[in-house]
Amino acid sequence: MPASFPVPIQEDIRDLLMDLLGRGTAVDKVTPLVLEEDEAGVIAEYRTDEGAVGAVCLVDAEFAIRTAGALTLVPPAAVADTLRKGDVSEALENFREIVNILAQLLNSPRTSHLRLSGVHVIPGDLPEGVSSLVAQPQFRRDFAVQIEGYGSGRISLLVN
Amino acid sequence: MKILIVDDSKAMRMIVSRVLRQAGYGTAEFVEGSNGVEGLAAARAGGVDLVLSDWNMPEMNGIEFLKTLRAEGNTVRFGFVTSESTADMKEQAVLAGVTFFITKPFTAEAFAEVLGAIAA
Repeated sequence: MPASFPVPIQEDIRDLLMDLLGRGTAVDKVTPLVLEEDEAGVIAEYRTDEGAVGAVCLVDAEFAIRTAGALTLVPPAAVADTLRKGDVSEALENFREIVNILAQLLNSPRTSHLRLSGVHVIPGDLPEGVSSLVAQPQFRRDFAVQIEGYGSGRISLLVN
Repeated sequence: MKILIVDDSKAMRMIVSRVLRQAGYGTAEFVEGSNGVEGLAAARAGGVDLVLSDWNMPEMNGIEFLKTLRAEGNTVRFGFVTSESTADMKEQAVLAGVTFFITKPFTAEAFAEVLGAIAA
């Protein structure tokens, strides 16, 4: 049986976000993130070069909007407005950059190469391999992230 | 100093120019392109001292961009700023004439170190 893909630990997530956002970031382990049916979030999927889903990154709307805002120094008040509207789509371009760079934490010399292959706003339809991995991952880690000046959100990494 | 930043992400182009200013290149002139084709046009226009390019881009990717520049005899210093840099990618880039690699996420210190070394 092939080795499972690596699941980053909290220090990996903290260091990557601190370097990427250029500001203080605190990361804590939390219980698994489960979004309610009507709760907004984003799922990034990572596939091997052969097209198999190897990992997904699930975040709540707070994480997506706050990290996307911090990435390009959007004023925190404008980020708060976007959060009140609950419109995750406005944050997708920047968020895509974040989860694209996150792919490096999901790769290892012992596992197939993974790259970001799609970003999906939820609630919404998901590709079959993605929904099954979200429902039944082999391993997962869940974190609460606090970004200096922007606030908190939650992120989960799930792998096959 | 004129620095050409080529990346299909507008956010990343903004971040690279911000980090360059933090790294001490605040007086540089920044020009941008969103893929290799636009990068090539900007480089051909002349006066570019340094190219910082992503690898994966639509239209023309970073390695094709670099190979085309070198095929035209352009010897401008060229660095890849990428989210991944495998041994295979590095080998291709070295053969094509790359000057350096910087992996995302990057810091102002990383840019200052690399650019300081090539300027020395």
